[in-house]
Amino acid sequence: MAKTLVGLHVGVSFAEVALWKGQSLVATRRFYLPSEPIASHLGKFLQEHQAIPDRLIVASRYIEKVLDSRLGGTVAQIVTAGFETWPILRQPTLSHLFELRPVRQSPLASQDLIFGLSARMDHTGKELKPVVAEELDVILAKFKALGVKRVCVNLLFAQANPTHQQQVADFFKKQGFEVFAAPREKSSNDEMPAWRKNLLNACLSGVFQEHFEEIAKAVDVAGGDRNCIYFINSYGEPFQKDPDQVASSLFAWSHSVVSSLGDNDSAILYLGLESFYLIEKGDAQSLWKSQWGPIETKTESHFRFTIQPTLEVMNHPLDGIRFGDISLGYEPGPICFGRGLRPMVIDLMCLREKLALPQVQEKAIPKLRNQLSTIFRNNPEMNKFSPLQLEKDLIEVLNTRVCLELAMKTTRKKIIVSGYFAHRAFHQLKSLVPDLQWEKDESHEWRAVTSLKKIGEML
Amino acid sequence: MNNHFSTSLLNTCLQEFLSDLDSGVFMNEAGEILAMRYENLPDVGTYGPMVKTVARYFQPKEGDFVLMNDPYSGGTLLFSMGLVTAIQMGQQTFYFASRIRLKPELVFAKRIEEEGVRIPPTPLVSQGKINTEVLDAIGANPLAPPQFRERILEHIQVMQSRVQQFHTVFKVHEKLFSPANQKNLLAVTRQKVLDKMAELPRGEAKYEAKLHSGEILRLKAEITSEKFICDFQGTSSAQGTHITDMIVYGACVACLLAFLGSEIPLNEGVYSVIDVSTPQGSFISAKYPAPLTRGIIEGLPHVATGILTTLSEIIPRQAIAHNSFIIPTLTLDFKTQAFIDVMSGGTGATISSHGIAGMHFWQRSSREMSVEMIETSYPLLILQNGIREGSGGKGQYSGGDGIVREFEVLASCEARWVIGSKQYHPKGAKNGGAGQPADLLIHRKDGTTEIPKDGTGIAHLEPHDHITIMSSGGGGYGKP
Repeated sequence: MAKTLVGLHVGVSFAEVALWKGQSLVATRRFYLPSEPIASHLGKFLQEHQAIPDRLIVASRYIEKVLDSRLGGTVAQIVTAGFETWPILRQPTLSHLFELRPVRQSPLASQDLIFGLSARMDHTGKELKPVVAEELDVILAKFKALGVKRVCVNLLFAQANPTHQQQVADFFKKQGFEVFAAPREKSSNDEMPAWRKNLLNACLSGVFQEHFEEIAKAVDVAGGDRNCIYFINSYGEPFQKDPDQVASSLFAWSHSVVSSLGDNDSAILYLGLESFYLIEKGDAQSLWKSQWGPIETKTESHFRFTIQPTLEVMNHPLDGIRFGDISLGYEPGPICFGRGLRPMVIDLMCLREKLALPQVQEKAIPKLRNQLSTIFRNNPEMNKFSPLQLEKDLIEVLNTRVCLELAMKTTRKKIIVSGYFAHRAFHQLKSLVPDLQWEKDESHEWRAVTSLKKIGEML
Repeated sequence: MNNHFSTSLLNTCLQEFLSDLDSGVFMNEAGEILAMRYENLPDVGTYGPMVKTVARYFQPKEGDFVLMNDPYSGGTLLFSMGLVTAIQMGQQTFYFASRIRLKPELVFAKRIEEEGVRIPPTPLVSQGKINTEVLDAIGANPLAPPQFRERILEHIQVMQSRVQQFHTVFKVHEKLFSPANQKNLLAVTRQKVLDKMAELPRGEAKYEAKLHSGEILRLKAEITSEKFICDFQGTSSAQGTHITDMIVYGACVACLLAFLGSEIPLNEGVYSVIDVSTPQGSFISAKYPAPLTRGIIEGLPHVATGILTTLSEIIPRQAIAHNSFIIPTLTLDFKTQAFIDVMSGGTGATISSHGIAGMHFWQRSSREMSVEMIETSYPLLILQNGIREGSGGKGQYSGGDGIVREFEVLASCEARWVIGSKQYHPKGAKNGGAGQPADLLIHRKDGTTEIPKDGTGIAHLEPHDHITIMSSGGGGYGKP
């Protein structure tokens, strides 16, 4: 009997699903998550197609939605003694400009829950000081008093000799704590990206478990076995319940996009509904340059464009009309969806050419034009131009800025444009940088999900 | 596209062009700065003169590179190497310069030549062809920083690749770079600065301080409707500390920018509203061959503190206490290699915020090295590395703490340090407490402890001796 395979790509606000029976692609669908939870969307889809998955492969970046909030209230860290405040000093400075109040990026978890352990290895992995049981008992008592649930073990030179790290991890696991002490890359010579990785895994672990439960509920409803669910990490390896892979799973989507697209001489310009990225295929990097500083995670080389689909179009006291700095996301959503009140980049794109999304409401378009006109009217420099001309100019600015960053960041001559907006933007972008070789991804809308089939077949 | 969008887009393009560099500048043929990315305080006032000097004497064409670090022609510290090239776009020539910091070596000497290799503007690449003889000759100088040749060649490649990318993207956007659009960008920026200054109180304030080496720094700063004026009349001559006037000018620009907020791009439009006068013969108007390391390391923080203090007085709603003064530097010279540690101190508290621990106020890139990398590369064991708790001044808002780092040396070495005078307590503001000064301790393996009295010094260390270096905290603001 033909196997039933389901691929699921989950973003923060949209998810795409593809269903195969044997080699045949039976259906694809896009879910809008702010309107209904994924369990409900997916459950209905599976029931509608009478599909009981043999394998459900998930590339998910859903947990990205919590990254902007301060994470992990009860995550504690055990570090080598003498280095308790070192992590805060390694946090990146936020601005490259001189300012009276320079700001350092907040750490992932509280600095009050960092405890030192005198155990020490040297760079060759030789033990200089052993783990002292009494010290562990003291820390354990503090954890209990503070209500700690998750513990990261971050000891120096654990890549040269992981004995101490493992010993401490085992001790706290036995005491019922969730412990994060991922094995380190042997070639690593910087402690901080590895420490941050454990910390991020710990902070996201709870949200990841909830996310897994949501998907599992849909499988339950369809009458399937939860063991059919596999997430993939940033280099396409499947996993089921491995807390050390959580941070890596944030980049499963990009692996999914590039794995079936182009060759190692090409770069992918991914213009998705939720984000715009440049991915250099074949340029694997061991560090993710995150907002908290580099994190040890093997991914293809990524660049997130400054222009993103849910940036606000706004009046700025100094710069006039400009795009905001922070993606607003789809909750409440763009004006063209009939949900939000602040015009976004995606709204501008919708005015230019209506988006083929069921969420777009025709009756919201006049409201969108009104909102934009108000912004233009309130700007003394701009109110002399017609709103239509300004809309056109803003689109040109958008495209130019994407092309500018693309050309400045890429090392490749060939650009493959993929993602939901690929075909709309293709000709304009190509005309702006004619020296590059441009290619369209014919499966651009479903690329992130359809390539999961291959992984499912290998399991 | 209307003018407003074109101007804003030109600024975005230039910022993006410089974005992946530690520092760099993009200038037009008229010698106007169109965009700058700075890394530290000396960059702000020196990039312009550096490019102008090179353009005036060498008129580089695209594909040419001129190397220089001479502080009297627009350089800063001698381990910071500048490269200047040209970009041809139609009929227009633009200049693009960038610096690369090689391994720092801080030597306090009597003449600039004794502090390192001084390189006047030197053509290094002509029409794409590298003059390796010149490069090798400079690299062979015993005072040349390690890996000089490799790092310079690497940086030339980085800049060449930028220029190539520039042409790829601007082939169809040439009109963005029209002289009219450039002029507009500078005019818009100038107007932004004036608009921001209009929100500030008008007034003047005075500052006077005596440096450890004996010089007197005097400053009268004034904000008018159209200018920020810094008059250093009355500043004494040098008694060991020398700074060039271009670096002092840059400090005035940087301090005003910090007060105006971060939304203003740094280009000629900003420079045009700032007037600085430095008296001839004073220590802030150094002339060749005066040495400059002490001036940049110890004197410049005094100048910047003076400007920030006067601005705090004129604009009390944005007042800030003193930042930690200097960046303590420790060199551990082993037989075959030298480990150099450069530490940040704490920033001063402001009227509404605590200072930040271990962040140099005037350094925009963090260079904290990994502990594992240090221990793998040098015969060192790091026993402590973190915030120097309680070193920031107390106050309603406390000053940022400094950093403390303790090393055990595993092989004999010569230790050299520059931590500044221990008399420099970064002052608090409005009854806030002062930050603790930088400090250094040596614990010998026989149990004895040495606390050097001077801000600079040398000591021989044997295996298993410990040396601890501490940077200063920032001043606090308001009564504790």
